[in-house]
Amino acid sequence: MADISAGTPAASSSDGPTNVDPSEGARQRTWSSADLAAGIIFVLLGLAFALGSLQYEMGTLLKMGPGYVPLSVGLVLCALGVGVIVKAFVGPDRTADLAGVSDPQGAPREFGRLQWRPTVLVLAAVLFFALTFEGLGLFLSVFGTSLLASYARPGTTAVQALAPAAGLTVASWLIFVLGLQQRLPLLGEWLGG
Amino acid sequence: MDLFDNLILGLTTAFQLKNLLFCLLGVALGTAVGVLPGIGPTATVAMLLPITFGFDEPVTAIIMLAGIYYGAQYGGSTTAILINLPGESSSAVTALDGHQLARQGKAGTALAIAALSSFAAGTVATVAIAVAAPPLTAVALKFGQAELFSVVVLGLIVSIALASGSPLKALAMIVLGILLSTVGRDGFTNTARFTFGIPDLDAGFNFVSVAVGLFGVAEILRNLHDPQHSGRIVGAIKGLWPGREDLRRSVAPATRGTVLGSILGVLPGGGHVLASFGSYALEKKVSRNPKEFGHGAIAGVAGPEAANNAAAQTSFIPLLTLGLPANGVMAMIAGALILQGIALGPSVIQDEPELVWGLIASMWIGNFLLVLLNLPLIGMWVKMLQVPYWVLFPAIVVFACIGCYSIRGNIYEVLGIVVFGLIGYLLIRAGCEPVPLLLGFVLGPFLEEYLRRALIISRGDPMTFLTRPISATLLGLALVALVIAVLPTIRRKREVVFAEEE
Repeated sequence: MADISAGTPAASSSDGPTNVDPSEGARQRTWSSADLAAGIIFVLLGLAFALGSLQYEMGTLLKMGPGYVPLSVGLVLCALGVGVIVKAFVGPDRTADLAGVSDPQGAPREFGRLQWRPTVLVLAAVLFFALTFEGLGLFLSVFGTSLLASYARPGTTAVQALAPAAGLTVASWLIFVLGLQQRLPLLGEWLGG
Repeated sequence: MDLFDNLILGLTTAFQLKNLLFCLLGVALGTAVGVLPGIGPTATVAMLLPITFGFDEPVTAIIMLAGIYYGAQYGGSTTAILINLPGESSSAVTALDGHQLARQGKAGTALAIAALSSFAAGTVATVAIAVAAPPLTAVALKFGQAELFSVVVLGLIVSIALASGSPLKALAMIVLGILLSTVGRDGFTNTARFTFGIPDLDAGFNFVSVAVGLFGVAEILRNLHDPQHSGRIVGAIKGLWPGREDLRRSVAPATRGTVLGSILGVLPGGGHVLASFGSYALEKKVSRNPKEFGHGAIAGVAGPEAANNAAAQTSFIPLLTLGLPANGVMAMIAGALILQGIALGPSVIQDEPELVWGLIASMWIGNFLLVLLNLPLIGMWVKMLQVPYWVLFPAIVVFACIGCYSIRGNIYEVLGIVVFGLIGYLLIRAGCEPVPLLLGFVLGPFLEEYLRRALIISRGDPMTFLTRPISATLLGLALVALVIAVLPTIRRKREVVFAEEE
């Protein structure tokens, strides 16, 4: 993660001026921090899998071991990642509209600043569910998950967090337990359910 | 004559009251969930999939799943048109012109055109499947491991050539997807790979966690970034029915879209996504008034919607003939069928004629029910979109968690959402399309299996892929597709097709 955020402080400063006319914007960046970040992620994940696969038997072309495919695919991903890093400087992605269709005259695409609050809280909400669902059971776990998720949105009031949490607790019981007949723990193991 | 008998068998199966009811229920539920902002067909099917696990008849399960799929597709288009928030890249194209129409107060026209061209395309594609499935099955029976490997490669490469964005990044996303799919027990040696000794990970990450993480969570995070995206509701819809002129102008684009979509849908690998982009580009090229595109061109709604739906339907062909899921949704449907004890592959059409033809007939019925259900309900869907975002997104998070957990009663499926949500979010921010990753993840295990088997059969000679004629042809086509995608001049032209409207 450190590598990714390292690319972002510069990016955040150019969030605004991306629409500046290139001729007068002398400080306009010519490379894309989005491409750079993508390339780094690819290289890191490719390396992680390639290194991890070394502990498995390689085998031969005739009889491949469990490590053969992950090692080769991991190395291919590394190579592609290096390619994307080069592309960040040579032929960067341009700014894109909603459909992901890029504008050839646009500014190089930026990774932009990560917004920590929504990212951390939404992922924390899912993580909370994963860690407590079997322990606390459906009612408490859903209530907590919904609360955490609500606060991911900046400016959420207490009512805007509590009302959906209460409503969703009842709704998920109605839909999944009564309606769809799923066998879900209502009160978890930690509560003796 | 055979075709006629088969269709009769299919219709009698599909018209059984129980199957008809579950088809209707599937279409209704699929639309209801698919219309939620940020939830596309893949996530919808992922969430509603567990409903069918308890069914005793596989044909009922697949008919309902197909209904959910069509419903979700249509629901996604509704959201794309009304609030410019496509749940999946296939409906992103519909949003381009559909939302402009909605802003001009012609939302009713756009929604009706979308529904009608989908229905027309669905009808044609149903017939296409009925005609094409048996001969294609005959071809499929000739396929060895090498050919299967090459057809998967071709599908993956074509998805790069026609998708939007940088081909290099799309290729890297596919490779990353393949890599992530190696987590779990290796089918040949039974070695647990990358599981950190956790037995619950032996089966690998579930596809549903990947889909929900990539599309659901990442989409929520993206919307929280741009508050102006969420909750922007279009004013009242005036008049539902399109005028005679609008209908007349939709016929040709819808026809072209149907043909394009039916062909692309057969390819394993993102056919329905490519179909809508391809159709939009085509319509813009043949239009007498290309400047209109991006400012509310009817053809920009009718063509892609028809292509999208036709491809959604013909993407059942590789599943039914090769046992090969063409996209994420098909992978889930395949999973559900395997759970029901159905062995997928070229023999399924002989072994389970009732299942195959019942499904084909129910596709048409499903599309018909979709139009019947949705045209009167458009007013209600719009109300549903007025649910504020602060209610909507905790609901999406909670439902996604429960949905993933209930697949196997396994907490690691939910943890998978966190992992893939984070990876997906970062990569989407970095300008990578999530669809190729998903395709690589779905097709990766097949690729590895076919590769290893083909090499065992050829005694370790990798030239087997080039010396067998069908395999060599398929790989040659893949190479051509790759060259087209990468060639800068052609690429620039392709970008201009999309970008010149501004």
